[in-house]
Amino acid sequence: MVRFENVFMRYDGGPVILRDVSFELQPGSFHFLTGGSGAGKSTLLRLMYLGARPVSGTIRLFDRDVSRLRRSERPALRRQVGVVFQDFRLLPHLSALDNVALPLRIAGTRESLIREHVPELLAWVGLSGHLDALPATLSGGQQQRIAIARAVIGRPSLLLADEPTGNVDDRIAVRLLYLFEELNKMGTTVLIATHNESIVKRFDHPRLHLEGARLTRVAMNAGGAVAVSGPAVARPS
Amino acid sequence: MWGRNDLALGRDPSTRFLPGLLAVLVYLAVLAAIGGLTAQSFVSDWDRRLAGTLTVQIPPAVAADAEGSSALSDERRDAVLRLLRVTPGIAEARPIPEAEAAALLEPWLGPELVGTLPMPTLVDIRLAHGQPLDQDALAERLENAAPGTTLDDHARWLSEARALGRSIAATGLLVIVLVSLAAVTAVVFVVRTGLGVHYDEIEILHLIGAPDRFIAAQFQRHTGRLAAVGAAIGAVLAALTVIGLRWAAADTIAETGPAGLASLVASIEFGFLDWVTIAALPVVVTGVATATARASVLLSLARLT
Repeated sequence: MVRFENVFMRYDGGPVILRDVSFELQPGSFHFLTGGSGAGKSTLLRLMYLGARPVSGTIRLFDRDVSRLRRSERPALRRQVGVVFQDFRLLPHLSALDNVALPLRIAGTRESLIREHVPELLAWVGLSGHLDALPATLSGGQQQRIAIARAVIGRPSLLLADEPTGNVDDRIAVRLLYLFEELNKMGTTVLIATHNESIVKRFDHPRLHLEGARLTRVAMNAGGAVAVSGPAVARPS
Repeated sequence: MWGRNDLALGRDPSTRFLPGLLAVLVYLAVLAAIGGLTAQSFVSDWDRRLAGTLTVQIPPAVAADAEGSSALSDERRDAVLRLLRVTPGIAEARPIPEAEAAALLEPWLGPELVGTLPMPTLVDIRLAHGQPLDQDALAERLENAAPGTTLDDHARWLSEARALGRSIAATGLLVIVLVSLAAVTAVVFVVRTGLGVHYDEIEILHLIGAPDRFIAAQFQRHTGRLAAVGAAIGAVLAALTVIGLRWAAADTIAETGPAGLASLVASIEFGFLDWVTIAALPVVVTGVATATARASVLLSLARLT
C-alpha cells in the first residue's frame, strides 16, 4: 500500500525534516503516527498524499513509484487517498454539504447520490443541522468534522489524518476514531498523526514514532502489519 | 457550460470588467462586420447592375442661341441612337431623360448649378446576351456620328469601386482580428489573475484529486458566462446603432430628399448569410473567450510541478 525507502526531506535549504526514513504500511492496516510538535508528522503525511516530493529516497504508493508519476496520473492516485488536514483546508465560500461533496463531484458522482450520501455522513459526524452553513460560521471542531467527512466520503483506500481530534472534545474524538475504525474494517488503510496519547492508548493499533527527523521507534500495542527497515529504524519485535 | 462552480471566481474584482470590455469589443467587431458586408453588398449590387451595360455620353452642342443649341443637341442624339439601334450586339439603347440625369447629378452639384449648367445627353445601352460587341469600333463610329461622344463601359469606375469595397472589407476583417486578440489578451489576464487569487483553493482541489481539466472547466464556465453576457450586450448595441442610423437616414431623406450618405445608409440591406455572420460574431467571441480560458488554465497549471 505505502512503502518509504530511505526518504530524506527538507524544504528549500531548511533543516532536515526526515532522515533516512523507511517503512511500509500493509493494506488494511491501522497506525498512529506520533511525535512532538515539528517532528515531521505533517511532512510525512504530505509526502504520502503527493503534496511534496522527497529530496531523495523512494516512495511507493499503491505499487507505483510516485517520483515517476506523470502530472496527469496524480489525480487518480490522490482520489484513492482521503486526507484530513490539520488546518482543515475547507473552501470558505462553500457550504458544509458542498465541501463534503467535492471529492464526489470531482469523481463525477451523480448529484442524486451526492444529495443522498453527504447529508447521511454529516448527520453521522453530528452536523445534520448545518448542511448549508459556511465554514466561517462553525466552530473549529465542527469544521474539523466537515474535513473528516470530506476525507472519508469517497471511501478512500488510504486515509491520512493530521491531528483529526485536535479541536474536539474526548467524546467526539472517540466517536471519530470509531468512524476511522469502521472504514478500516471495510478495507481502508488508516494512518493518523496525533499527539493525543489518551487516544493512542485507548485504541489498540501500532504506532510509528518520529523523533529527531528519524522514524526511530515503532511501538506495537498489539500484533499489527507493520514492517520497518533501514539502519536508523528499529524493527518491531 | 452553465454548471456549478466550486471556486468563488465571481468574487474576483478582475473579472468584473470582462463583460463590459467584451461588450465594447463585440460592438466594434459587429460594426466592422456590418461595414465590410455593406461595402461588399454595394459593390456586388453595382457590379450586377452595370454588367452588360454601357453608357454613351454626348456632350451638349453649342449654337448661337438656346433654341439652336437644343435642336443641334437633339440632332446629335438622334444620330447616335440611329447608329446604336443598328449595331449588332446591342439589345437596347435608351436615352436618359434630362430630368432623370439632372436628378442623378443634383445630390452632387446642387439644384442651382444643375439648372444652369449645360447637361450632356446620356444613353444607356443594354448589350445583347451572347453577341460580342467591338467597343473600339463602336467608339470610333460614335465619334464620327457626333464628335466628342464617348463610350463608357464602367470598367475603371467598377475597378475602383471593387478595390474600395475590398479595402473596407479587409479593414473590417482586421478590426475583427484585433478585437479577437484584445479579447484573448483580456481573458488570459483575467484567468491568470484568478489562478493567483485562488491558488490556495486550487491546491486543495488538486490535493483531493481534482485533475487540471476539472479546474479548467470552472474557469471555462465562469469566463463563458461573462463573455456571453458581454458579447450579447455588444451585439444588441451594435444592432440598435445600425437601426438608429437607418432611421436617422430615412428622416433625412424624408426632409431633404435622397442624397449622398443618408441615401447610402438607408439602402443598407442584408441577406440571410449576412445576418448569420453578424449573429455568429458574439457566439464566436464567446467561444474564443471560453477556449482561451480553458487553454490558459491548462497551460498555467501544467507549469506547476
